[in-house]
Amino acid sequence: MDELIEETVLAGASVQRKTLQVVELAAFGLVRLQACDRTERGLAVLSEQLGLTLPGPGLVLDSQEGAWFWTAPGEWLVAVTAGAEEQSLSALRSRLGSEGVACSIVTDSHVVLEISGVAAREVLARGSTVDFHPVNFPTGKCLLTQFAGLPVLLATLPGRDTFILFADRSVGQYLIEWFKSASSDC
Amino acid sequence: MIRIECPWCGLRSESEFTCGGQSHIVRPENPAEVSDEIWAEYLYQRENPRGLHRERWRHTYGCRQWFNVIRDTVTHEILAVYHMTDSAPEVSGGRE
Repeated sequence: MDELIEETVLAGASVQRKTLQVVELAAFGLVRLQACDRTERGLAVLSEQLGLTLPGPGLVLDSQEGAWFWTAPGEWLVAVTAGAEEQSLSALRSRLGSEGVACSIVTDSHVVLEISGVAAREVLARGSTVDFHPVNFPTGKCLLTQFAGLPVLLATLPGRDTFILFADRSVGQYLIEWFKSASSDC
Repeated sequence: MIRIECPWCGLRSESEFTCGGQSHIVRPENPAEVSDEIWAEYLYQRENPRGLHRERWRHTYGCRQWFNVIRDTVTHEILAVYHMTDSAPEVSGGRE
């Protein structure tokens, strides 16, 4: 093999309707941070070491180094610029030390989709029991839920009315097919 | 479908959760010394009340955390949700 061709999970596959667009976001590198001490005091220490206020349940923090998504008590997914994962990992480790915290790069195990368009909330509601009304799902919110039968992380970045969906890499094509099927009237 | 208040994620549909059965089951301290009857009771005997049931649930499709629930098995009403390390609270309503 002379050369490995860099390919994204979906290799350009997308959904393009009048009122709904679903595209793969390859601009993110993903780092997962897990803390052993999930007490309020432990999280305050962690926040101090990181120099930011870690987002609590259901919240997203858009910081200089990337977007922080709460994924479980004491666990966050950090979306950084693609290719900058190693650098971010080193920066996190140097600030946090090696005890009581696990940082790992998880970019290659995920597919990230961006869902936009005026029908985005309606189509998303067809795959989940979550209330997608803007009052209940404003920008800057994230949640883990069951969507199209799969465990996913759904989020909106602060100030942007598009949804970002994180799922296991292996289900990327299935999700695109699901969106095609669920948006035939859009 | 019942709706369950996850202590971390808030109100979600039952399909996101997994029921782990009866809660507050205590393992005998000295398994080698207890009788077969007591050991079998610990392993296999479960309550099956018509009324309040203290049970474990896991938010499988969400934060993946276990927690306790007090549910009325007749009406499916959730009367309390509390952490795994907490003792069962007193609740009003439902049938004991």
